[in-house]
Amino acid sequence: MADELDTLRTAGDEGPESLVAALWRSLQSVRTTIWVLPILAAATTIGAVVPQKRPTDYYDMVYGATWGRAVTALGFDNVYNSTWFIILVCVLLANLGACVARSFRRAARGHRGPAPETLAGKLTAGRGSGCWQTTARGEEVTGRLAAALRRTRYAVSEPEGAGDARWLMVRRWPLAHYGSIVTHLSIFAIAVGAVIGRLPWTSLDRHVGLVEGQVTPDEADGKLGVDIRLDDFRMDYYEGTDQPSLYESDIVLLSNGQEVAKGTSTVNKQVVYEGLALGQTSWGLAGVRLTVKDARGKQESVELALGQAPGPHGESMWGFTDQGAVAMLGEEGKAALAGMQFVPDTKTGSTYPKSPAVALQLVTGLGAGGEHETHDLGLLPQGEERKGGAYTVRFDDVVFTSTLSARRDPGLPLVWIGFIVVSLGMAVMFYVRPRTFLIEVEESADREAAEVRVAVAGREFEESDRRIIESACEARLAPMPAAGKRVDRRRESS
Amino acid sequence: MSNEADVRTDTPAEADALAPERVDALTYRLVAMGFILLTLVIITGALWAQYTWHKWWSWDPKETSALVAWLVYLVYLHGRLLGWSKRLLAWIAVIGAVSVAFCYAGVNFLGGLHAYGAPTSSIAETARNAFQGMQSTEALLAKGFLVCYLGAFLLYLATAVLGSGRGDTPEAAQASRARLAWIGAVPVCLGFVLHTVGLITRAVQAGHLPFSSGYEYAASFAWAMVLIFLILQLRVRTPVIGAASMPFILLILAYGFLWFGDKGVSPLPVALQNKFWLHLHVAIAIISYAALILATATSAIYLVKSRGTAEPTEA
Repeated sequence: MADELDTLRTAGDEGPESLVAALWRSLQSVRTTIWVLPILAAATTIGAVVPQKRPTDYYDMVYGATWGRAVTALGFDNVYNSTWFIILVCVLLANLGACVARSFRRAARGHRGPAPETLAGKLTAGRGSGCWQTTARGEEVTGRLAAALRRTRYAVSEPEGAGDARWLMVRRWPLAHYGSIVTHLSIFAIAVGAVIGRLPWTSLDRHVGLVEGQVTPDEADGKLGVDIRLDDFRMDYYEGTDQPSLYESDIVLLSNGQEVAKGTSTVNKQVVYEGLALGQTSWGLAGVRLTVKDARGKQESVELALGQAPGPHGESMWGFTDQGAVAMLGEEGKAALAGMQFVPDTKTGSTYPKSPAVALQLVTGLGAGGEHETHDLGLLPQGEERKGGAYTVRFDDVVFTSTLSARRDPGLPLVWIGFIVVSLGMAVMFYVRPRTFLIEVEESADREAAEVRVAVAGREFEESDRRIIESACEARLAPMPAAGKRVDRRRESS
Repeated sequence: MSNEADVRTDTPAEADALAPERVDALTYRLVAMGFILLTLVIITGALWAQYTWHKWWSWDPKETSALVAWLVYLVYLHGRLLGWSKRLLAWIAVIGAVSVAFCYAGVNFLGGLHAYGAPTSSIAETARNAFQGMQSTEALLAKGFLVCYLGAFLLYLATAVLGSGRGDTPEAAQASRARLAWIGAVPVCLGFVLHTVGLITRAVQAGHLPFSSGYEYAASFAWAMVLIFLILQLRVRTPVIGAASMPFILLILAYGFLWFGDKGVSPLPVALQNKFWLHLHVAIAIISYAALILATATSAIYLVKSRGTAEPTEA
């Protein structure tokens, strides 16, 4: 019915179409959508299958020189940031926006329902219509119909119709006509939110490496807005296993040297300060912290650096690095402490630093003219101390590094709203059926009988509605007048 | 989304349950349900990713493959709006199922944040030790439901092929098919009960729903498929639907038992510790995948039933 009216309104408007109009019409077409979607799906599949953002050599090695070059030349190595992918997404979004603009009028019409004056004399046979004849008076039938439909949770109004017929506007869930529009708009909102979240001048997405006990200053671009101090990093494990159950960093945020915020960041909990979210992502070992006490009781804190080194089976292991594994002791530098071996876990042999120990050598008697002496301190577990010459060395702690994700995403609220609305919109689109139909009750000339005509907006006529109407009218089904064949009974009788 | 005529199954109960129009309507219902849930899978996944990985979208292979599946079903739904041939739509539903299978299993071969990892032993060895991680009761239950499902498939196949519904009238033939459907449905129901008890046992042991390993995920996924299949079977009482659906269920179970094997209860990785998101996201995922994979079974039936017939397209 609505489509027929649309046709009536646009008839005669045809003429030569400008390029802009043609482009706009293409954008408004679902056919454009259906072309773009598979291409986008194929492009996304390429991005999922081909490892992304690897060095060029990687693709040559994996796919061979020719195919490797083709992968990089076509941008398949970085699909989601490639120009052609972004253009594709933009076309889809433009299509989405144009389709929404086009559908809005239709949805509004469905919501409003057809106006009786536009339908006067036009309620004819077709999809979604019915016609009944009853021996009751028009006023009585109208009242019975309105009451019966209201009992079945329809909203019924009696608009002023055209001519002498009585009209009922019957609606249920009329706002559901907007379900499709709301859904499509929310997808648009999610996309816009995603774009806002990636704009370099509004967003931030980087990793910040921290070392226990040290302040990591903001980078040169000042985007972080704060310096970060890592006070402590902790790991915990499921009992009896090597599987970590917790990673957490106690951090302090500093601005111009002043503490502005602090908190504990874990994998599942971020520290948020003025839109900057800091979350735990990974960890490492920076070194071991030792306390060396000389014969006079003077204490000195020493740190020996750790790094990743290949293990006996080629695996990556924590160990002392060549540089940084030696520390000179005392101001005179007459002794030195050297890290020989780092054992992450002396109890179970785990690669996690659960119960660490260090093998150390202490060299004394360094300096001009002296004869140096090497003291092998053996394997020193954490928390224990050992004597070497005039020195006592204690293994205090391992020094962790912690990597935090630092993100500022101003598009996030829009994305969240989009998620909520798209979920609701889809539920409405698929499972809430908006129902709008018009009933025209026209009395016969002698006012002893009436004809009830029903037109449904854009939908099939429901069997349940048919039963309600037939029951209210106590009517028998009559053939609906065919298009163009309708007879105005009043005019005929007069 | 689509016009309501597609969704409604006005066909009287006694008419042919496998009439192409009705099978197409069933496929649409499964796709619609699966698509909405797939949307929720992507949304809950994004929310969980923001919570745990601090970024709601990372173009991880799992995320992108879920997006691909979503796009394929968007083509299906928009094609339906445009009145595309229903055979073409059925083929798109099959492609959609391939994309879902890729999203479910394919990512294990691509790495990324969601991969359960490659098995550490050969398939034969994994098969030999498939029940090793289970307690004796659990293993018994698992063997029980496997036998039931396999038996049900063979019964469905036999009744679908041999007894295609005999009767003088279409109504009598349909009644005959409905009776035959029960022959396969009984072992499926029995297997489903054993399966449910098995999963509950595992959930009690683990302290969370069994979603944390490759085997557990497959077992839960297959359970969701059986659940939806049984609902489907109530609506379409014919063994054909069982013969078409059971292979997918068995395939998922084979993947879980033979590829991963059960290594018993293991603690949750740190990223999965939030049980709210774990339960919500994965529960929606398995139901979504199950509906979409079963839509392939109904699509296959449609393709066979509508072969060689002129089909109407939407106006």
